[in-house]
Amino acid sequence: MWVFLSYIFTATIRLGTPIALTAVGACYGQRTGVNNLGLEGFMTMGAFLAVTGSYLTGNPWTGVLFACVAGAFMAVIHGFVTITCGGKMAVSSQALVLLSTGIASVGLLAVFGTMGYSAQVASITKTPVLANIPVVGEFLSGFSPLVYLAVVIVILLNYVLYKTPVGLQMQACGEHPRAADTAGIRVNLMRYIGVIISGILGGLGGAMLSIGSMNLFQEGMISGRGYLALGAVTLGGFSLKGAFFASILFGFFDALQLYVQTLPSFPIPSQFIQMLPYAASLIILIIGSSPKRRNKAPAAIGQAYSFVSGTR
Amino acid sequence: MTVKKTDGTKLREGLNSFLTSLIAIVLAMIAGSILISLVDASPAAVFSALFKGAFGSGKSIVGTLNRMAPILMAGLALTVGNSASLFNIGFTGQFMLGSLFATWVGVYIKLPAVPLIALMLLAGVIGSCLWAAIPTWFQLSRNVNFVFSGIMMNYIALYLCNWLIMQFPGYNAMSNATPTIQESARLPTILNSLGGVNSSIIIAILLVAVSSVIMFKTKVGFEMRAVGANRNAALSAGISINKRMFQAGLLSAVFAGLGGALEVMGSTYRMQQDVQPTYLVMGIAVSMLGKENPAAILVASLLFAGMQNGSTMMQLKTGVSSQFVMAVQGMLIIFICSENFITYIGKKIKAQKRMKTEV
Repeated sequence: MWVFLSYIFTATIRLGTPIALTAVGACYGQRTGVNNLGLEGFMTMGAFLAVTGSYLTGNPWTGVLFACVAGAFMAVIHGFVTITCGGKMAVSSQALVLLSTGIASVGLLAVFGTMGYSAQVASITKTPVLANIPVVGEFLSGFSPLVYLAVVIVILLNYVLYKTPVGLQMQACGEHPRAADTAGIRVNLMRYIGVIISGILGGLGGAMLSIGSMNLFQEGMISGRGYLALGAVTLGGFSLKGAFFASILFGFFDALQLYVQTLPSFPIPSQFIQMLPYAASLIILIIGSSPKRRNKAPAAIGQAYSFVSGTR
Repeated sequence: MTVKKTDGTKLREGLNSFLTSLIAIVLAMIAGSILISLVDASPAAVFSALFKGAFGSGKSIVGTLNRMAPILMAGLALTVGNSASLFNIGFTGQFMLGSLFATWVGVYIKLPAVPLIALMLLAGVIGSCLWAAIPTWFQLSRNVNFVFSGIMMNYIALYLCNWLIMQFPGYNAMSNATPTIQESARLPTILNSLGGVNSSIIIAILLVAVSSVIMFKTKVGFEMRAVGANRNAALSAGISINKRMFQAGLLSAVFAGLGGALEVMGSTYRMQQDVQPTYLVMGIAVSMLGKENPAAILVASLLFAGMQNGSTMMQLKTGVSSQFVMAVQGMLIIFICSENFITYIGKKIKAQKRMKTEV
């Protein structure tokens, strides 16, 4: 029993953190009014460039930096298409996913000369600094420093979004862009900032998956976690805290799925176990929503506000 | 006189949208070239290998045509959904269920060729519609985000199909696939002198005509497009929005299921585990390039089928991963998505010219 609990707890943290980072970032994008289904693309680019950076320089932290820059780069593309040009947000997001898959695959062959897998690189799966703390030190040092970084980032971003003028201005852009514009807020600048934060955190989430819990990049390793992050945002009612806890819940289902697969002779076929994280998130979302419940999404989500598309 | 005038504007609009699409394609090729130079290969060699692999010889043209039917169906499915402002992202799951149902009929039901093929198409439609009805119904009754539930349904479909494939009597554990369908269930080839073009493409082209008749010549289609164009106006005109959107979702699924069935009957002849089709994104791109115009949809799917078909030769000749075409397709969608910007710049340039001539 103890073994089971400690396995599930560790795995939940390890698998929940990438989803949580991405979901918290996505909240920023959504709150400013930009819908983004392409979180999967941010994570793929982050995961791949984290490994590439670590491989080229030998320092995993350079990889983390690469991942953030890659996420931000993808975010700027999404921002240009949807914020500046008023293009369809759902479609642009799908293009991001496709583009990142293509780039990762071409890059894998070019940098590592392999297909499907990268070489093994220096990674940051442990935090040796914490090992000196008595009693819990050994346990705490078993997590990647990115986990602790994530906690700090989430607290900081929660403060910024809800307690500072900039955060409130960003929320205004998602609720009523024209009113925000009249009040002197630069709507599209705020939206770009929101999307770029989303990109950076999505890249970081990808880095957590590739060098924070493994030491290589594998094609298709994100396997829908970006979409789960999106579900976490919806389930968490578009609040930062809600998204964070919903992500941890999804991480738990993922951990449970991995654990059950290791059991010999489990009565339920493995395909249904693999389905668990996706089916659980769908069922929770169906139970959580009803026609009468107030929609918590920002009022102007998905609406462009731009001269170029004539919506301003 | 008036008729001629409207024709003129229509022609001009068509020309403009053709030009923006062309600009988007050129820009995507330029961006692709930059990516290729980053990985130390020659863009000219890559693109010429891609083109030769797609349209360079009789054999490669046949290969391209053989890949076209499912892409065309994906384009139709997405176009129908877009017309009613419904983004059918659950296409992949519907396609898989359609393939699975069609495979089941093709393997076990003993019938002569013509009724069997008709029954397989019907089975594909039933499978995909059942799968599409779930998220569509939850969207309309409980307000569950259609796009998100569609994505989750795609993953659930993948694992469900993995399991169902194993339940087929005669499951082939070596290749992780169902048994192959009967000879009579396979679509015949035409133009055998060239190497055999699969007749699934003929059925697909007929379906393009059917879809444009439904969308442009019937009341249902008109009301679907009205819902997509302006929901409030449609509501005040007395159109039942929920009903029409549900129908549009199912019509989109019908094309997804037909695509799945055509792929099984035309090229794969069986269903394999862990193969998630990637036609969704191609469908998105085709529907954006096609803009509800049947001819443009045909040309766009030919282009994408060519890219898919040419990518293998490109990897063999230049050593650039065949997934490179995915990056190009992604960039193409991004540039088409920002077509507003292209027209905006065009207008600006025109306005500046006018200013200069006035001064």
